[in-house]
Amino acid sequence: MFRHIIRKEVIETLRDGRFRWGAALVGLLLVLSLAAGFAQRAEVERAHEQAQAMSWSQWLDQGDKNPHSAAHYGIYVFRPVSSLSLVDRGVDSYVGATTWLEAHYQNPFEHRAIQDTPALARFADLTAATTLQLLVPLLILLLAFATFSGERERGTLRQVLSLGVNPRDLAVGKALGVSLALALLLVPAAALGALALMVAGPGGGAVADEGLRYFLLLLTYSAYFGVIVLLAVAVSALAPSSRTALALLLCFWIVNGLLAPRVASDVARSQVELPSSLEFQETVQRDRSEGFGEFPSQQVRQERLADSVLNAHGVEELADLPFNFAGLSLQRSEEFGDLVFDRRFGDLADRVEAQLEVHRRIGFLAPHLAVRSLSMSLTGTDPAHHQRYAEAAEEHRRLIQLIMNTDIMENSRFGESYVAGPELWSEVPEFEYDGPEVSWALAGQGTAIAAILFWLVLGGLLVRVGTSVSARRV
Amino acid sequence: MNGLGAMLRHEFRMLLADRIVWVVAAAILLLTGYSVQVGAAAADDQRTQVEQAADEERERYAGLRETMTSVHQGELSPSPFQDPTRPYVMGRARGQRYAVLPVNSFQATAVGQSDLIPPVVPVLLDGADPRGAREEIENPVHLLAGPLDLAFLITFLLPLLALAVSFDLLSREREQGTLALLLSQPVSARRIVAGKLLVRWGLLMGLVAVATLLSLLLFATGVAWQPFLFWGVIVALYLGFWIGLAALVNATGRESARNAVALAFLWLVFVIVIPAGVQISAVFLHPVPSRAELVALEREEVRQVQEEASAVLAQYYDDHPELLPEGSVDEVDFQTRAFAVNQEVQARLRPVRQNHREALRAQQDWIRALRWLSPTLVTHEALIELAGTGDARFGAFEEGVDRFHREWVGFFEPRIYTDSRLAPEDLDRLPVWTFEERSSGAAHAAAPGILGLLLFSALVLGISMRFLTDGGDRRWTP
Repeated sequence: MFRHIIRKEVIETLRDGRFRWGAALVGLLLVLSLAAGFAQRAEVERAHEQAQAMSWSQWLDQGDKNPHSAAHYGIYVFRPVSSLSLVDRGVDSYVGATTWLEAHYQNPFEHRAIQDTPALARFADLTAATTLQLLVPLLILLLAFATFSGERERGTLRQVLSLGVNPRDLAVGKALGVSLALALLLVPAAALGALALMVAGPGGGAVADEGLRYFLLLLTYSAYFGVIVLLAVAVSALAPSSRTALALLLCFWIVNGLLAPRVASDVARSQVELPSSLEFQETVQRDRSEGFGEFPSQQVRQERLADSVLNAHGVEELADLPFNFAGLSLQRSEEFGDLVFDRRFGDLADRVEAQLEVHRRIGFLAPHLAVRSLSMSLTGTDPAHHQRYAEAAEEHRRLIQLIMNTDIMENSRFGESYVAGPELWSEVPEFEYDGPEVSWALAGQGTAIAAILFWLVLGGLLVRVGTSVSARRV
Repeated sequence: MNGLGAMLRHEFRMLLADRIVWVVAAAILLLTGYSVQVGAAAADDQRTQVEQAADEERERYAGLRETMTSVHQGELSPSPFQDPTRPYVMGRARGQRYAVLPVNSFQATAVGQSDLIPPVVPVLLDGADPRGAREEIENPVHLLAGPLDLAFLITFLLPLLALAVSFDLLSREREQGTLALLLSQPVSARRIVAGKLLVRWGLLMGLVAVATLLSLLLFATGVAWQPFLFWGVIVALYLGFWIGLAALVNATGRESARNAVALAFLWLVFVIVIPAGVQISAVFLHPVPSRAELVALEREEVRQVQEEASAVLAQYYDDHPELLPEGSVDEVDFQTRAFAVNQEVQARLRPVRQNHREALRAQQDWIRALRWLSPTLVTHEALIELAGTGDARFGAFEEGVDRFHREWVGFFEPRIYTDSRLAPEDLDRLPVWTFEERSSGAAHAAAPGILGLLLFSALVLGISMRFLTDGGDRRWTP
């Protein structure tokens, strides 16, 4: 019996002009957006790798100079691009591509690609992810809104039920039928994505576990489509007419996909505030010069350092120390700066993450938000992955400072001019980034996963209620 | 024309009896109020940034005037790096001026690009680039999602709301069996549809216009009438297009549910698919080179020019012997040297930057040319240009910044090469930033859009009216 229901549903769907047109359109968009994602990713990766190699050779060939001047010259690092970004670009274009690792300062990331795009890119930036998050659900709704109500209106529901078919079997069969028809479109698309991913190769170590991530991504979207299918069947069963079912489902689609992401931003902003760029710079500057908490001002710190070192070595003059005090002083000042940066940049990152948690919680009201968050996280294109890279780059900056300042301490004399050469520059290791594993990505996505599961259960329950209501109505 | 009046009244009453109409009306009022508030808040942020920059500049200049006076009277002798009477110091961070993009009078209606392109650009000898200036801190996911502003409401949602009240324009009458009755009256099919369209169009347009007007008065800094009128015309035509499309689909004589699905697909095509296709083709045909390369290239040029610094300087004084201060080129002040190096680096990078900008402009032109493929693209462009947050106004800002930067360098160049000192009075001679809005701004921004939309609406309405006469009756009468 069950098989028959599914078969009938699949055949009916496949013969439906709506499905053919819709599937052709969505299929075309998926192929197009995957191709565009593939090309764009390849181009950005090429540009970033080339620029980083250039910056590295500039560092090595900077000539003889004082190590501290070299530290100021610094290195630019360029964010690697996750290979999975060909599916979901996430915020990649909305965060800076590069940061300058120089002495004294943790610089913010600069050059957001989105600034170099026309206004259209904001609302027409089609990726495979937007196709999957917005258009496939629309296709499902348009296919499934009349599954029950249509049969009722045509009078076939009464006939079917009179045959002794369990209404719940009918509902499950219909949901599976629509899903199977959909699978005919989406499975090839998933295979195409996998192929593109293999051709693209690992993306400069932006993320680890790419295969597993892709698998979980497929699972996430399958679950999401499952939610939409269940909702569509349930509403079709519950609504008094096809017309109402369609209206309700389209309303849901608009609120879920178009309004919720935008309103969620406003809610998140009102719950967790971010400092303005000016405020942030001033706070960092103030912390660094005037100190914070138990830490006194820059000047006091320097004086205390000098006193304690002189005491420890039992000498009167800084020049009499067995090492160059300038190097030590620079390093201590760096380390204090690091405390300030950890505190302030850390606080900023925490706030951004807290805002995103608000988005994920709203996922319980609009599943699109939960799926978006999970999708960006799995593809390694969310703010958290970017933040992790920023922290790794900052670690490297600190390493450069340590190597330069140690050299000043050990190899030069206080108050005398000193230059070092390429041997010292090459003591700094080239910056390599190891992207996070999938477990790291998922650790922050508990709420999003819970929200999707919640919607699956809710969808199932609604179908149950819907079928019994619908059977009674007949 | 008494018949028409009666018909419209009847249609209007029928409309008010429909629950969907009330839902749509509530949605329009609520969302308009919300979206205007979003736009007004964004405009306020920009206003604050612009004011903060102006305040900072004013205070800094007051301080500079004092310092310069003291230096001139010999009371103070700051280090050469700090001395504001030295043109090289004054022309850089100490004396930098801000090029600011003022808030447009109609900006509350569309955020556009204003949350991406900083409205405050420091102009100093080293350069000035609006697309590279300090960015405001913002959650990137919020930038990605985009704001729920009025322009979004109009371009994306208004069509859906319009379709919700008109997708079963005729099909419902037929399904309810009232169509035959209606056609037995002495009115033509065209007139019935025209009446239905007019009522729906009038109701929605009235709601949107009044809601927008009230929201602007309540939440924003008031209404700029000229852009508001153009805005009204654009929205009216765009709405006309979608309702006309509903009439066209209804004229094919299918059942309501099918009409709804067909219209949803058309919405998808015009609002999502065509714009996405245009965007993808623009990126594909006119790729904008990555900034990453520019960053690395700049360093390369700096190093090369530094190695050739003496030659660069010698060349300059060769061309401008009158500027050479006493002594030989080798004794020239290191600041002059640094300036010469920087200018040379900028000159060498200019082609790369130009290339970058031209690629972006080519992309914009391509998109502008292809916008005639979808009324949504036409409307989107016209709405953000009317609000002053589109590519055209930012392009003008960019050009203004360039011009101002050239003026700025032009002021300092001879003073640096002659190694002269600035007096406090020179502060009043420094170039001053001004941004001139186009005088015919609103009309200029809206005119092509209005023409395009007129064409679109006339097309769908014309075709649907033809459908209704050329044997259409047979198709949709029972």
